Amino acid sequence: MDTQKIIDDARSMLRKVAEPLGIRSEAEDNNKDNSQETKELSLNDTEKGQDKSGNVVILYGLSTCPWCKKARNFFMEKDVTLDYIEYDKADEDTRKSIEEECSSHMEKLAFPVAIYGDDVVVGYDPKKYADLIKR
Amino acid sequence: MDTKKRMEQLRTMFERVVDPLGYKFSPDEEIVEFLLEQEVMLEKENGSPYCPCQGLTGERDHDMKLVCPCIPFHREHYDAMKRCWCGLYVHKDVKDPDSLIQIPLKEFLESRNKE
Ligand code: SF4
Repeated sequence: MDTQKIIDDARSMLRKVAEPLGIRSEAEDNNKDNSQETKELSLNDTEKGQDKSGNVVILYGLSTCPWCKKARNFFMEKDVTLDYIEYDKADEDTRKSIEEECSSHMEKLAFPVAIYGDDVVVGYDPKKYADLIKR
Repeated sequence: MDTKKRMEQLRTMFERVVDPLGYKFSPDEEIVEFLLEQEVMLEKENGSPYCPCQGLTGERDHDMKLVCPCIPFHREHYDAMKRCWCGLYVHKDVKDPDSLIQIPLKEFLESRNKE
């Protein structure tokens, strides 16, 4: 397994997710832009799905972490809006705010960290993720 | 140095460190290869084979506890999971690493305090 393959897999999966969104959102220019943006995804982009609740799953990860990629794939397959941010690739201010956020949950920057509203799941755990987005 | 070669060197070195701690490389060879490759990259960038799944802050005290294998610094937590945070190493009796989950530190500390 290499990083490029994971990125390529993630991109092809994203394309599968983005295409139906593109069709659904043709009526709205904004959303059309989103699907365009999604197809051009680079890591750290916001991946805009169509979450009925309007809530966003924020996922903090590392570019080197296989569990973060699994977590990202999990949420990309679901009908949620995902904001995926890689701590190691982020700018200084973003890194500081991730550090503060993680320490407030008593965690020492162990990734992935998924945040949905007031709920936080640290570590890759599909069962907890499913519960998280059900709430 | 060639990445593959360095991966093999790390594998041999790490094996010697984790064996007396009761750990072995995960039977999930795909994850092992991926993580070792990331560690070689991290070593090239940062000077040590740091943990691919935990964030470096640049503070010595924090970062030095994340040089692989970081098991001695997180022993109780990892023993409770039967794996290290990344899943590169598992307890020697583990045959099915997919059955092991990452237990957040907070959850581990709370369950330990209850006992
Ligand atoms: S969590 Fe595992 S892979 Fe990561 S540094 Fe610790 S021992 Fe190494």
